[in-house]
Amino acid sequence: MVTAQAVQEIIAAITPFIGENMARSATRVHCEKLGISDPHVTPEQVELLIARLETGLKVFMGREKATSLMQPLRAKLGGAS
Amino acid sequence: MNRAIDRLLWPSLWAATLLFLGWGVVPRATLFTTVLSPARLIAVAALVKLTLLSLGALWSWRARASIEADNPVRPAWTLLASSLLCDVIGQAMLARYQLRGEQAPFPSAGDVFWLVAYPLVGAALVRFVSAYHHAGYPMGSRAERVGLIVVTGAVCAALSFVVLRPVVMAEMPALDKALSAAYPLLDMALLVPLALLLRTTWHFRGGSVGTAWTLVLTGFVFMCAGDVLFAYFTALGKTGLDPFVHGSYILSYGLIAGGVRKHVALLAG
Repeated sequence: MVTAQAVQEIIAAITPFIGENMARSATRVHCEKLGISDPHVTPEQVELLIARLETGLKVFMGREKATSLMQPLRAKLGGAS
Repeated sequence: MNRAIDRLLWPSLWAATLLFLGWGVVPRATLFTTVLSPARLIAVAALVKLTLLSLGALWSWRARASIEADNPVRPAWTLLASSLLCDVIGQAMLARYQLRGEQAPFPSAGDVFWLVAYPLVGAALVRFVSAYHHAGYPMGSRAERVGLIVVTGAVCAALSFVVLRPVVMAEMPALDKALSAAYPLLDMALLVPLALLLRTTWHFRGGSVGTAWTLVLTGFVFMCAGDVLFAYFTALGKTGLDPFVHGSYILSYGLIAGGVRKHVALLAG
């Protein structure tokens, strides 16, 4: 999977809640920590990235809603469920 | 029901705030010398404040209930709900007099609850900051936070000197003076965690989290402004400026309630 495309999809999903600025910063920081870089990303890395961002969202919207928000991304981007 | 409340809350808040601003700016306007006499306006203010504070407390409690037990922000919501509940009780004690057209006593038993509300809300704000910083978001260094605390603390200390001067110089009973000084002092202390949380949540601007927090924190800033105005006008004996105090509190409680409502929508939507 193309890294830029996956990252863009994830940022678009969380931007309405935490704003574009934080969505980009948080995704970039987690990508760096997880060793995700261009040009390709594995489904396992996508799952880890989604899980990290989901943990951050829980403080604002609770576990259930954060999980339901990330579920379509997992399905679409091929992360493990 | 919730949508109806949302549709009603903001127009009502702006209308109520403008009404009291209008009263303050043109107190001799026909409206304020006939239909809406000062006694009636004070009763209206009491009801509006009580309603908004109750909504804020109720929605904070709902936010707490919507979030799982091990979520780090749950204790913060508990503290915020408890603080607003103390404000509701304090306001209800004053409303008893204001609704009957009587002069509300100062100090009163309500002041005990107003004072207890401060450490609760301060602790709530600190818990929110801590939880958000531990959630893995990139939000600057510890040194930046310490710097902000130092700068805000210094500004608040300087402001306290200016605000407290007329209160300390005023001729009034010792307990009245102590309470008149305590409110602005506690407000200044509250501005430090407020600034920290404002800086933290500023990173979420453009999103619903940022909007919700901007409303809540602006509400607390107006609450501090209301307390400072109250202390100032009491010390100077300028009761004619009360409409601005009422307006500040109404706007404050409305913004807090509206912001918390947005948090509830975020949790439950």
